[in-house]
Amino acid sequence: MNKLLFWLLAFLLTGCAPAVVPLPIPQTGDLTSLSLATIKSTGPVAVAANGSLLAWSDSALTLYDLATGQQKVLFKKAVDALCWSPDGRYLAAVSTHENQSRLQVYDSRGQRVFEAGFAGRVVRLIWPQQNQLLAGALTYKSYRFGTHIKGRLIEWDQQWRQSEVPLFETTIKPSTAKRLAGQLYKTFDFDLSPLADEVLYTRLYAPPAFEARRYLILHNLQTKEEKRIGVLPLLRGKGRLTREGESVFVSDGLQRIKRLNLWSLKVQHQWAGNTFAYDAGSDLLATETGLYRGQQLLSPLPAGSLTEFSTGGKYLSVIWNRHLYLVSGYPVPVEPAITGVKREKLQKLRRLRSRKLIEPEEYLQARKRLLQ
Amino acid sequence: MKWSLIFLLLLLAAPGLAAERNGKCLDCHQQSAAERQVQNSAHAGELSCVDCHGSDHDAIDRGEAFVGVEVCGRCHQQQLDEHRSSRHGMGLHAGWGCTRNFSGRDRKDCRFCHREGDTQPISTVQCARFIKQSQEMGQIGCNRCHMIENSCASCHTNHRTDARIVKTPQVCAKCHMGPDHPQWEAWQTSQHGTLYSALGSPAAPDCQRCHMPEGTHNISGGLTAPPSGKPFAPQEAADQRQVMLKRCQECHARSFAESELRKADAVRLQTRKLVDEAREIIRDLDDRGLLDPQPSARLEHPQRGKELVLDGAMLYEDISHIESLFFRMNKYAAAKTFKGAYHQNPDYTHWYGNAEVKLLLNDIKAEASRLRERGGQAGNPVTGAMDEKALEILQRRHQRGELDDAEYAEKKRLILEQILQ
Repeated sequence: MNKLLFWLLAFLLTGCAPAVVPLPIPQTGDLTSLSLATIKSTGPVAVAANGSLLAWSDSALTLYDLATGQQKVLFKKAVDALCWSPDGRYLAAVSTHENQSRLQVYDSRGQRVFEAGFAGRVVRLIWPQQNQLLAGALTYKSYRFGTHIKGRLIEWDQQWRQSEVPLFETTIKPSTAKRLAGQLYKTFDFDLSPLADEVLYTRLYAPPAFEARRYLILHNLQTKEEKRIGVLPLLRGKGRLTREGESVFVSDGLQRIKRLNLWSLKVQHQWAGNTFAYDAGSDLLATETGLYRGQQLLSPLPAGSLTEFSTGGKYLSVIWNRHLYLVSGYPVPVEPAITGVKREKLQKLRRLRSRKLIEPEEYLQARKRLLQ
Repeated sequence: MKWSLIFLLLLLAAPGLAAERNGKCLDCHQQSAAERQVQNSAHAGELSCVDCHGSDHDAIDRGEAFVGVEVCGRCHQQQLDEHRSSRHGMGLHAGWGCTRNFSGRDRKDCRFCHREGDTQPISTVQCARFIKQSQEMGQIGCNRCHMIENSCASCHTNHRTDARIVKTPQVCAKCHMGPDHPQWEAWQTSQHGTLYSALGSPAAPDCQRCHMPEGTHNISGGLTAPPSGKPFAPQEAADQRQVMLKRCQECHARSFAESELRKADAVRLQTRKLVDEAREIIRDLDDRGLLDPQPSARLEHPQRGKELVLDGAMLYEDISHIESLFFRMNKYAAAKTFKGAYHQNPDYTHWYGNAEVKLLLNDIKAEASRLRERGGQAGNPVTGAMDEKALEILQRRHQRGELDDAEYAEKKRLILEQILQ
């Protein structure tokens, strides 16, 4: 009854079509939500760190200036992935045509400042540091006996120099390739640890005579050592590394989002839902039904929300009921990032742990002492 | 009475039957050396060619009618059982390996490890040193000795049955001599050998008297050091020692024999310790990547791949210089030391053995210093290295059992302290 009343009021107050229906969340404290636009289809959304600019892709790539309310179409086709630079000055987008991808970088006015092509299809783009833009690309080639797939990270530095980090290559049986036709690239997903030394990625495994599986793997970029974290459904589920890099949020496609310890694989906490957004800088989690810090619910979200945080976690874009909203004003913890010698030593300790030269427990003790 | 008469007739006819069965073979092989040897042996008139070789001439031509120990065992079962329970017949395959991939392989070789119609080998033990050799070298240099596992002819020769052949210590010398195990030379130039030269058998002890008393084919009785170098379990060693002491007591007081064998035991352990020291030096160099060339940069070991191999499967080819020194130390000098001691030979024990072991250990240490210096890792083998490398070395030492869990944890803790400072 309350819900019905809410909708009725919302409709009467706004006097608009459903496009401007406010996001049904309690407006407590400083928490606010802005209704931004109606979108034609669900695609990637990215909010700049300061919340002044937002971009989304449905049938086209659109830039939205929140200060002026102006919208500008940057690219007339849908793109696969989007992200903002940490300082919020540049927007990166990747579009695909026939297993070839194109990276386009725009400034805050929407002017294209860089463009580069590369092989493969991208499912995620991240800009963890000002001098590091990363795309995870999957290339594939079909043969009579199966499809050869190759997953790699493509990296651009501040001078737009491009380099690659191969993660895996494997051949999958024809029946699996046929079943996943057109969606094969979605089997590959990745995340970078906050210390930028480890990658969590998903890898398809489907040799002949074996059931197709999709593994979640932790990969140390320096040692190339890997640890298998779990198994996910072929097209659903993802993993994101937590702030301290010792746990992982995993959605398993079965309405469960778990926080697991990376080394013991014990479940630390569990939420309901299939998709989520996580910001390692602020340690905030947004599920399909709520915004959380740790296990504390900061705000409920209407069921079915698709969310994305800005860098630093101050802003949360929400796609709900084909509308795009921007939520802000919730408390965001500010913890200084680990830098300098401490960061280097931590990376070294993690390298030793990845090679099993020290035990996870020894690493934790050393980390604790180092950060005291 | 009637049955006794029939039996007697059959007995008298038996040699004739053998001769008749030989008939077809002798049509062609009448003048062969084999035939002449058989005619002068105890088997003459008793056995036909087909009794041992079978009647499938095509198989004989293909080399598939090998007369293995089982053929002889049909009549000499006790000897076969004794042989099989000894080191001569226990499936060591010390000089063998599968020749399937050899070009120009001799199919006869297969019969040493595979029974007819069976693709599974009798033993899966293979010798890396054999596998590395050419077909010809393998046949002459390896198989001529190591065929003993499945070939009575290895000692008895093919067609003769003259016991004098196998009662002379010379029959053992074919294999038990040379730089790797000079038992024959050590015995020959010992007091025992001198007595044998002067007085002959049975007045003096020879190989057979101590190792094959009363004609037993179990040559391992009384031995307390198995070929792998690993000591016997204490009770088993004590039992075997009693066996040997009983043999010594034929000429010596028990206390004297006990004392001498105990000294030889001590020499063996002292020598092993020196060999272990050298092995550790080389493993440490490998751990640090200082061997030249490293195992990862050489032709692969046929059984272990890119691994450093310093045990019984060690090769003498495609290895580094320091490993060559170790091979000589372990395989030649150490073996001379303790085999000389057990055979009561002072020179083999000391100058050919002990002195060489220690001189080679000096060489190994000097070469190790040179390699460390060249690799920029002179000084303390653990703290002198980078901490990550040091942890890697510690882990390998722990995995090899050189460090127990507590020692390993403590040493790791010290390195982590260094990292955190």
